[in-house]
Amino acid sequence: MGLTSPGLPYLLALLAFIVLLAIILGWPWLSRRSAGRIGLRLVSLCVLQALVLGLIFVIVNNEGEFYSSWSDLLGTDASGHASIIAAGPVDAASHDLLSVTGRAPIRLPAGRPGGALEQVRIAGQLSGISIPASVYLPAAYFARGSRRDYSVLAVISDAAPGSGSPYAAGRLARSAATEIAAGRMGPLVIVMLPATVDRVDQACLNLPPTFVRRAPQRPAIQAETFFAQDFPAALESAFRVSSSPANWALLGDQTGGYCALQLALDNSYVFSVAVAPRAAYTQPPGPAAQLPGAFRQQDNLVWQLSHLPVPPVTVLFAGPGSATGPGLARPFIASAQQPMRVSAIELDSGNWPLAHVLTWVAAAVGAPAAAGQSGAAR
Amino acid sequence: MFILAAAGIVGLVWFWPRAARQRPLTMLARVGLIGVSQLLVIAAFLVFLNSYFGFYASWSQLLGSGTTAVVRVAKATGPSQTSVLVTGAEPAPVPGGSAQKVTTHIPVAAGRGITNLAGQVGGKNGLQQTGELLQVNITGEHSGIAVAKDFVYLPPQYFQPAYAHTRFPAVLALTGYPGSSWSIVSRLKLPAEQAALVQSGKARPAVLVMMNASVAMPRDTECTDVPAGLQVETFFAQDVPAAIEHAFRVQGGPGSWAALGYSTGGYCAVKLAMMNPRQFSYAVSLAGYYQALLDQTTGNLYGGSVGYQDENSPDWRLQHLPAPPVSILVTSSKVGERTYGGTLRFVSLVKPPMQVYTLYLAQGGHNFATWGRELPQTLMWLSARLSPAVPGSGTGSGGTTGPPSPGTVTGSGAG
Repeated sequence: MGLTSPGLPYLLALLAFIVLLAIILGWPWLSRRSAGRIGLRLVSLCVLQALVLGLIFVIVNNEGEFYSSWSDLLGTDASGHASIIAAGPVDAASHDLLSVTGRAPIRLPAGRPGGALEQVRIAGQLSGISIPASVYLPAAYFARGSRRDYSVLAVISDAAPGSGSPYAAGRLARSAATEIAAGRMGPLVIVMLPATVDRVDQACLNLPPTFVRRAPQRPAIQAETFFAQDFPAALESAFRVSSSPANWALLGDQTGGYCALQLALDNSYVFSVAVAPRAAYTQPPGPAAQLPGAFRQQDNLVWQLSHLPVPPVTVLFAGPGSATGPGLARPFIASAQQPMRVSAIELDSGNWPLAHVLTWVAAAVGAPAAAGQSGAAR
Repeated sequence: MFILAAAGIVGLVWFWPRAARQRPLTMLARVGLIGVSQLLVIAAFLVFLNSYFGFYASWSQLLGSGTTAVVRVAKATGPSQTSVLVTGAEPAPVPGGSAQKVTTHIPVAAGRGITNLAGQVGGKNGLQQTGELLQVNITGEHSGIAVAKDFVYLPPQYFQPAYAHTRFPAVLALTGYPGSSWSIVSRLKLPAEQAALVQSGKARPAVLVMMNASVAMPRDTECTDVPAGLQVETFFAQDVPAAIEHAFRVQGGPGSWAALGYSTGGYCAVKLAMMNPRQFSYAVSLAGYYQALLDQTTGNLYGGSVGYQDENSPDWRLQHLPAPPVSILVTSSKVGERTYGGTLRFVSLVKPPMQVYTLYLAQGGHNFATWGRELPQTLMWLSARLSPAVPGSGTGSGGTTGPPSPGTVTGSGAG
């Protein structure tokens, strides 16, 4: 009878019951004082015990499918040789993670080179999200014998590229080019990305598909996977940028501030610096705020700071909105502890509001102004 | 326990005549006596089975009073804090020999680098032959999860002069549920099998990190980032590799880490690789399953969201998300494994650039003997893919020295 056959437990149970009955009824007969009877007591008890243990073992084994047969149990199972086989289709043509769709040089006053602004499309390998982005490459990037590990600032903003917003790609690139040319910051690669993915503000989170409002059947949009895994991989595959978190920063405006902070807190193995406007950050923007309790708790960045280990990231509060004092960001600032570091600065007035922010970020991610060049290059 | 059970039987045989009178009460007494002695033997049998299969390592793991097993460090994780603590060390088990439980306690001097502690037991010359088995506590910098009594195997080459500056590839090996990481050493015999293959030239040396897939026994956490709870996926995918790369000469580049596991550990290995292909380029699932579980032992893992549970299912991910660039080896048995059907289904869903390899035994149950038979081919498959440790190389390919900490930390506050 097989080890896993359904009749085995019943057979064992029946035998155990018969032996038990025999022991109970034969008790007086067995209780006479003779070596033979004492031996029989022992034997009968052991038989009963073996039957009961066997029964338990067979039931547990059937439940957990630990051993499939007697030979499996006894270790004599060597049934033939099996080998590893490649199943399924083996590799198709590889696709580019990042493709350049356009390119415009940045001209500074007096015709000095300010680098270039490239229009690119990033195809997220893991998330499947494909979005357009702009990449600013500093003039030094094109120099002969240029370094291989430029620091990266990722700007997350829904500001239209041609708009007057200081976060819009053109204006930001010009701002950076000016600061670099003036020697107030080192060369830095800047990438401008939208905060809204697939027409939904995902707050740069992986939203479970059933919680996207008004469209319960839509596929899961893995925005966090895109920003924290796909985007760095794509950029590193196409440009000579560093892969160390110490050289990666995030910057968000009112639309991308939650993104920047959230991504840095959750992915400190990728990013080490985040800049965002002063705000509460107790709940994400967009449909993510409708998530059930546990998600809502976790997406509250102030809750995260007090319930999870504080990551080693540097946070700067700077951006549109109230400019003086901690403002709405007070609870966040109060919860931040070592190894996190939090500071705040105000935006500049004039043509380049983000100039100071850019130089601060450059210093924080290892692209400081070259010594001796500072302020003198003009 | 066994002594108690034997005493029960002897006592019963001895006092047999006392219950020999023909009265209804003594009839009942007989049944009671037999019942007690049976229970004692059954309890002894269960204790034996538990230690044989390595289900639960302690009473607290079984009963759930083990809240101390997980230390939530919400604060004060300074960058200088050691995240790997060696609590025991001994020469690694040799092929064919039996593994002894790590007992040597090495006092950890405050402020000393962990690499100084490795290689202090058994003598340098001995370790160059056997390699070393370390018992470690690991604290996750990002997840805050702290685990104790897991094991790290450093191969003999790790101590040989030719490899003195070489970084090794690493394999994260995970148990099933319930399980104990010691059974990877003693029952699966992973270090001994790996050593035997390296000795015979069929595999190249690697560091093995052997851990309990459940970080909060008796809860079955299924390597999941629980919303507003234990971030187990983060722990295994980010914290553990970072801690190991920091504490030992282990590579950090692409192709240098693999995840391997049996049963629940197999599910974990595949999920971890699919969600973190830049960390784990390869995964091996010995009789794993490919859908996210939700049952009594797991508790609420997905924040009440079916969508999030789906995202934790390898099957669902293959159907709804792009396939990640990983190579996966799945094993099962055509007879005796209820994971066989699920494995066939998973394999049928795989599409490029993901690659899947299969190893199906004709017969074999859900146990260490079966997985042991699959292990040699599995380890050779892994070895052929992992970025090798090159003797004499200064830095090793893609090596890093752990997560860099940005700048000087001066505290917080608006400034």
